[in-house]
Amino acid sequence: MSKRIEIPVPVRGELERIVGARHISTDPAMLSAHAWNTGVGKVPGAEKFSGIWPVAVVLPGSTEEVAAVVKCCLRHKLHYKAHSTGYGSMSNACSPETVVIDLRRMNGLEIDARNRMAIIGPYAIAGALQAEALKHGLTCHIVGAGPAHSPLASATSLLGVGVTSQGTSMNARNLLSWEWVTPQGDIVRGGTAGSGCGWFAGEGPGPGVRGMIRGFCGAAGGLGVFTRIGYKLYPVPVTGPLEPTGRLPQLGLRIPDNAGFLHAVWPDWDSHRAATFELLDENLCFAMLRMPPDHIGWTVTGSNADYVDQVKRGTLPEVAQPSNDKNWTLMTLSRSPAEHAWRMGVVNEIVQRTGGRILELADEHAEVLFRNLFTSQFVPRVLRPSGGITTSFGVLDSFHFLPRAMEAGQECLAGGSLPGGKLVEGGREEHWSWPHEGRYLWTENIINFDPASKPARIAAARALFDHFAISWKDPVGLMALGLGPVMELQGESIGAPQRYIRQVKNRLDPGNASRSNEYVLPVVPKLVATALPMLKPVILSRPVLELMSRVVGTKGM
Amino acid sequence: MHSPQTLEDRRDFLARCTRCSQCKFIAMPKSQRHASACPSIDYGQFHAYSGGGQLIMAYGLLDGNVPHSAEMAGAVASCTMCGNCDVSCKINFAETVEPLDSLYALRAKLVSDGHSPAPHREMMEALHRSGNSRGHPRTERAHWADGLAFDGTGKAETLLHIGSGLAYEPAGWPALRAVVATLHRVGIAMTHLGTEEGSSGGLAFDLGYVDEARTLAQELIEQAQQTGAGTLVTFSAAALSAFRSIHPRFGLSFGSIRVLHITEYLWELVQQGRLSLAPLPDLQGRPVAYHDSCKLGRLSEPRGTQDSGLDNQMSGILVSRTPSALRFGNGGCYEAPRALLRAMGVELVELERHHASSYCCGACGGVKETVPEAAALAARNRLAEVQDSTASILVSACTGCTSHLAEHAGSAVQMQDLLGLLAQALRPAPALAG
Ligand SMILES: Cc1cc2nc3c(=O)[nH]c(=O)nc-3n(C[C@H](O)[C@H](O)[C@H](O)COP(=O)(O)OP(=O)(O)OC[C@H]3O[C@@H](n4cnc5c(N)ncnc54)[C@H](O)[C@@H]3O)c2cc1C
Ligand code: SF4
Ligand code: SF4
Repeated sequence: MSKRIEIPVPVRGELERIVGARHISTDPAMLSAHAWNTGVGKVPGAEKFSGIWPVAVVLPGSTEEVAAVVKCCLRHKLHYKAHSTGYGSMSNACSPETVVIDLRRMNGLEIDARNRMAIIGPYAIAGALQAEALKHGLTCHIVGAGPAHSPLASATSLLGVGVTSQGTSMNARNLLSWEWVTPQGDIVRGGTAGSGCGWFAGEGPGPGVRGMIRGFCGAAGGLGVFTRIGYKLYPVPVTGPLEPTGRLPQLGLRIPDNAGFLHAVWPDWDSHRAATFELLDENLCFAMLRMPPDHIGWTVTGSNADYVDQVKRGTLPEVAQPSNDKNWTLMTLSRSPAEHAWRMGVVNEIVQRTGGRILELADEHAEVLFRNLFTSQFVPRVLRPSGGITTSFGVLDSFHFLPRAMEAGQECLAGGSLPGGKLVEGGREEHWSWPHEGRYLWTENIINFDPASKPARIAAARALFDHFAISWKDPVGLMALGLGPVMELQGESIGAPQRYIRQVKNRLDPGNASRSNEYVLPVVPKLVATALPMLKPVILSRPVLELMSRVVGTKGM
Repeated sequence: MHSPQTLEDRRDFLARCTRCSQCKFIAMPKSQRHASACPSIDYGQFHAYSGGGQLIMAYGLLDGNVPHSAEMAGAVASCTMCGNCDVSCKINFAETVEPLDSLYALRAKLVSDGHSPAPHREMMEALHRSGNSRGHPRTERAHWADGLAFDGTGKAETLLHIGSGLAYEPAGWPALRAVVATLHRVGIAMTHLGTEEGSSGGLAFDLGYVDEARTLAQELIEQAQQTGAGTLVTFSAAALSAFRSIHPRFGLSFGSIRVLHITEYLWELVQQGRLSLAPLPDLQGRPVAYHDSCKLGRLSEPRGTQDSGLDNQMSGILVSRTPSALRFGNGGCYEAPRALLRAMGVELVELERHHASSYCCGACGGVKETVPEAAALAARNRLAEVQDSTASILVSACTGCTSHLAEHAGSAVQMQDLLGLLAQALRPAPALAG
């Protein structure tokens, strides 16, 4: 049963006066959505509700109200947690004294087409932002969480990589100016918004502290509340709504004029990598995505029943065949038929020359895959088979590491996703990979498991821990999932960002009122800090990994 | 005996809600202003008011983490049971979550635990007393038929089902009579159930009164079968939805009687060359938007015999046992009303949210009676969508939607009931005229 405390009546009264009686609740019915283990991202336990419930949820309507809520929490020694759309349980309360600040009512969205940016509030969702941006021939970066998540949450506070990162970068770089309620409840504007020049830049002439408040991973609610940002938009040669095709649930989009959409495969990872460098050198694609073939199969089928049936009958299209795993889905966007012809010509030439081939793609499948990529609907879709998903092998580095990352992905799944294994049946590895701005590789090994089954949860946790074990023993580039306590376990092998971030956290939020489990630990006792490196071999030993997996598979993360 | 699933039966479906919020939005929004799928969250704002939020609350009710409360009842009562969340959720999650079935089960749980909101109880009492939820006297149910040129109460090939919305709405009677008179002129032998016409059970089911819904459905089916009719034509969108998607949950059907909505029936007659439609001068050159009512649209998609259980295959893939019965929203009654409008020479424009993703007007599921502010907000949202389109006329084929939207339309949007337009435009085909 959960740990809950009651909010004192006068404190509730104060909060009520700030946000209005309609916009506060302490009723478990309303709080339940803020204590739900989604089974997504983290490995859940047997219980669907987290052990920690917030004391209250408030729905402020303005930055001033947010600031007043924060100050009220500080006065009464309560904690608070910012919540945008709340996908993936990371905005859940991290202490029973927490007031969840649900930003649903703050959904401002303004397109500044001349400056190729949008000014958005926390509840302007990505799908709506993209629709508004397209009216101006622009699009936005959408992370894997898909069209219903908050770009503001992602840009200010959590990672920010996504399937179209080749064309739309990652969110640490898409964050322009910001409006921020600091952990002390002060309203601060940074970047150009800080000096009243508009919202177009994250650095100067106002204070430029983007690296401090955001960094690569973001503070995940551990550093106050962001209430408005400038968010970069990207020009695309399409204006107005894209034309839907297909029938529910297999919605597609007509592939726009002068757009290319192909699926290419190579015989091995080395030739795949060689082709990748060439494709990137020529800057040919708006998006490049490598998905495991089983996940493509889940996308081109309308239901699980349809997928399993097609597997049994052997009727899945070529793109979803396990043998076509060394692949790229390539999307090109051009402004004229001549440019389109050039792009397609060069893509074809590179694919042929590097030993690859382009697969046949029926229109119906191409349109569904195009929609899922362009609107970033893929990841929510691949939750369909079992409802349980976590990630394991995250690498952010050069494409040189790609073949080794694939190998390491196989090592940590250890056959668990092959027939007879405890994870959902698929390939030997389940990597999703893409480039960012033509430069570096992002790849992560997705684990699908049945969250209702304890052995499956244990296997998923084990795959996740093995990922850490492998990358600590024999690093495969830079490990990209350094959230919260993982940073401490990672130690100082790739610099010591946690030391710097800890100072930021403690200076700005000395009482740790803006409480988050996914941000740096405010205090690491000296003894623990000294002992951790020595304990690492023990932590990474088979019996301990096994034990930790059992605990996580039972209790959740 | 078939029984709809209880909340306990739905436990695993509830547990699978990923809290992704997709059910708050339509799958492919064209603007931010009209991206919402859910009138309930638009009103209540707390996540618990959304489809997914209700599933989480329901799970809490089952596992003891969430006790009944006024706030829970308020959130549940603000849901119009419009099913838009179901369509949005299934685009990603297909058979594995199916929120709408759980929303029905949650309402039933509130009833069985004694927490049905007072206005719902009052509606049910009225339904028992007088056969309609607004408590109109049963003796007045057939006033609409006064003065018809034929005796409509005997046995005949076609049974007209009027539905309480229209039967007690005098403003709709001239159109109803005109349409029936035209059908009579082309030789359709019709009957109706007069003052004894029963409820379809749809409203009772929406409110969570499962046993009552079954009884009402059974009674209406018996009444219909006694008429010996081969075709039942309903003027009620809500009844059509009950016939096609609720009755099968009880294993009930009209047997060999074919069931059609009046728009489907009329379009069939037009296609057979028995009726024709004249252009309507008032609408020429004026773009017209069509409002897909939830009940006539996605909620009328026929429900086949469905085993809601899922098999676990390939180590965790949850697979429907009756995949052919999965419903994604494609099978509603969308085309007949549009075809009739086009045949009247109307220039149709689609709203941003249409067909299976149409936004609810706010009137159904007992919301209008229980949380009128929520119902009014939904209507205003829907009307704003019309104002953002090129149309200034909005047509609906559901009496409930038309009258609710008309209450809030002001002067910016002109509400029209499709039946009223049909009454003006329908003609016996030239060869049959006279
Ligand atoms: C299925 C799935 C796929 C995902 N794929 C990706 C991916 O490809 N790339 C990626 O980068 N991430 C991914 N994520 C994580 C994703 O970044 C976050 O889920 C996304 O940012 C969430 O937006 P949200 O509106 O749900 O944020 P929330 O869940 O509401 O918040 C996320 C975190 O940010 C904090 N936060 C939210 N709003 C604010 C605010 N206004 N001010 C301060 N802190 C705030 C919260 O406290 C929380 O810690 C995925 C998550 C899921 C569930
Ligand atoms: S009901 Fe479906 S769409 Fe809604 S939050 Fe749950 S899983 Fe997502
Ligand atoms: S049925 Fe309609 S009102 Fe109710 S939760 Fe679903 S979308 Fe919202």
